[in-house]
Amino acid sequence: MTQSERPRRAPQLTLVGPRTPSDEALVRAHLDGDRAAFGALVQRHQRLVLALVRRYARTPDESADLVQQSFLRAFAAAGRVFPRMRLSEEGAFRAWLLRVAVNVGKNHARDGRRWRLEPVEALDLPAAESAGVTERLEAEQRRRLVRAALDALTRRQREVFALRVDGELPFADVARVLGITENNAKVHFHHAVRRLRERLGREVEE
Amino acid sequence: MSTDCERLAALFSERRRGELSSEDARALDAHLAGCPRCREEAAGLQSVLAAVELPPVSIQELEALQSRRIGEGPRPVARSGAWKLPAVLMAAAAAAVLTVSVRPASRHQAGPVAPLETAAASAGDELLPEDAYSQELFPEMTSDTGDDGQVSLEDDALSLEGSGLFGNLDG
Repeated sequence: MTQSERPRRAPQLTLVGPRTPSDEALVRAHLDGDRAAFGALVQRHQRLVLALVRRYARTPDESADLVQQSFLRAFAAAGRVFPRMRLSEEGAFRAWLLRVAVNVGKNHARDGRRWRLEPVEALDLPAAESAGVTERLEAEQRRRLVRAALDALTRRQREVFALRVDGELPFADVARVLGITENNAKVHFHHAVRRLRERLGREVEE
Repeated sequence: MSTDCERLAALFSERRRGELSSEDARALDAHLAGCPRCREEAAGLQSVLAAVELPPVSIQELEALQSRRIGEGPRPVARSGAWKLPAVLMAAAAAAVLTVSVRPASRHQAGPVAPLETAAASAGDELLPEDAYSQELFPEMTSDTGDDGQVSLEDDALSLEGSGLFGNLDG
């Protein structure tokens, strides 16, 4: 193959090497002014962030809002704090981002006003799209109860629960994100589910 | 109470997702057979796990996410409220400086008043504790317990949300 026959390569990020750049390399590139680095990080993590915040949103647009908030808040901290931090630990940015996402969702739900005075037609519940009004109301009522029960968990329990149930991460990965042992993550999860059962009671035991 | 009793919901969650090895599945069944307390809890825990799962991400959710073009970079977006953050932090910093500046005079009226530079530096330390940031940024640096299952289950929300870094600044 001659030089002219080689396929043209797409423009590369500043710090791209032969391997896929780590999150931490992309954060450094972003802080150095590489705009493509931000996009690469968003592309890499936005599905997981969406999974973590969508429980607290009523509509797809609101879910997207919370994803956007999570990235902007994570990067606001990155610009302020990361230059002074050691980013040699792989996974540090991802762990930080996911914890921000869990808290963005939780804090969004804390404002009870966002859950009132909405007509049934305003609800956009994927699972209930084909259901009748009664079923949709019941589905939304259950979602509210679960959100309220989650709000009563400790921060660590809520983080473990969100990463496991909403993020669908294996417990080993949950543990890495939170900087705890896998056994510790499982114990927190067990107590979270027990506490949810106490609060949800008959609502879930049919 | 054995270790498996403290991980029962996690084991059910793994079995539900097909993540449990056949060996671990047999161990779980054996544990249930020999532990009346866990047998009693099993149905309730599994009902909760089934009830709290969300439906799969919908096409509408993905389309809304793609249309937002988040990856194009930070820019002021009125509806997100994200750009309120710096203003809130600045207001908090100003309040803290004022508070710290006033305190020495009220507590020690007969003594010397701390120089303004010292007071401001103290306020800065309170607002931006390096250790606190480190612990929030890198969870592995937090002082959680070891692998003995004796974790702190009390509400530790203050350690993150009370820091004011992100937790309570939502509009």
